[in-house]
Amino acid sequence: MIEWLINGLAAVLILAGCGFFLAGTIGLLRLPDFYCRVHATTKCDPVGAVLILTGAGLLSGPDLGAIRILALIALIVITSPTAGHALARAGWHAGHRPWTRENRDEPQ
Amino acid sequence: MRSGLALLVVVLLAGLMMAGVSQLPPPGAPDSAVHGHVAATYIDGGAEAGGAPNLVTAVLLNYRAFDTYGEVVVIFAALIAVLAVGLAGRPIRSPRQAPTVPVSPVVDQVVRLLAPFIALFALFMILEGHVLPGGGFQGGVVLGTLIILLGLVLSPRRLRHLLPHKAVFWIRSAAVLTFACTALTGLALTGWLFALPEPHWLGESVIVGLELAIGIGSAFAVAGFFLSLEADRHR
Repeated sequence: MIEWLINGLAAVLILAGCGFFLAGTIGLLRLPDFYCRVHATTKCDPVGAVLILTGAGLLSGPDLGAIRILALIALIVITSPTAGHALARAGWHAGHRPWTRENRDEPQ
Repeated sequence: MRSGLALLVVVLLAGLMMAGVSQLPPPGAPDSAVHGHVAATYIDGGAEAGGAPNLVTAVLLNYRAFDTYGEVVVIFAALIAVLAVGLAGRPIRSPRQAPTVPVSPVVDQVVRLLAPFIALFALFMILEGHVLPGGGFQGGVVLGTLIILLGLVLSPRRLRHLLPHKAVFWIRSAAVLTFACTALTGLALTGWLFALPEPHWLGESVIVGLELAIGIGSAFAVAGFFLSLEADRHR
């Protein structure tokens, strides 16, 4: 019963994580400018990866693999938003103007 | 005339290659020379004779050390060429001309937080490469990435303080020099180039030293181009 519950929870987490990855990928392909795309990829990826890794950790049970997964989660949670921040900041300081409805027809 | 000559050379070389390829055994044939005595010998005695418990490392650094030496020289030569071409003929600007954006405190803190872990992992990959998958080239790339990250975050003056120009000059050539030393040591001690000296622990430490040298060499090959750009921007 417990095993069935844990497997079900892991499956739900992994599927939800895949949903976040899908949203991030669609955002990368479809959103109008650099800042929106950075937002889509670097926000969705950590959530998706953490959900999938948590699911994998539940499946692996309390052992060395779970500790490794915790370390991986910490790494992703720290690095991915930082990368997004650094990219957006570099774009801003390089003079890249954000897309709005008013300047939608101007060249980027 | 020239293109006709080129075509002739290409056809001749292609013909030679095709003739060679047509004589190859079919892929995966169990009676081909590769699957015969050579691989079996490596698997049987490679771990003892090769000086490294990891067979890939034993092959890389012992059985085909000449090949790896060639690779190290190619990487070194590529770095030197990039440095020579990249720095040639650039106008020398004063450091204050380029407006520099201050480093984001977020990036600064995160790089400082992660740097020791990245360094530890790089060293682990380099030193454990003779037991586990990994090794000098891979660990060196991780180490080079760390140097690039630190170069982005630290001020150029502090980075230059950490890595003085003279030291960089020698570290860049560390891999090539260590390989040459190993080859000559082997020649002096056993009469064969790249042969590992006896006893076994000495041979194994030579392998670990080679891995370390390859790691440092590839780290500075990766970081060297970036650092040269940085020096160019700030000089």
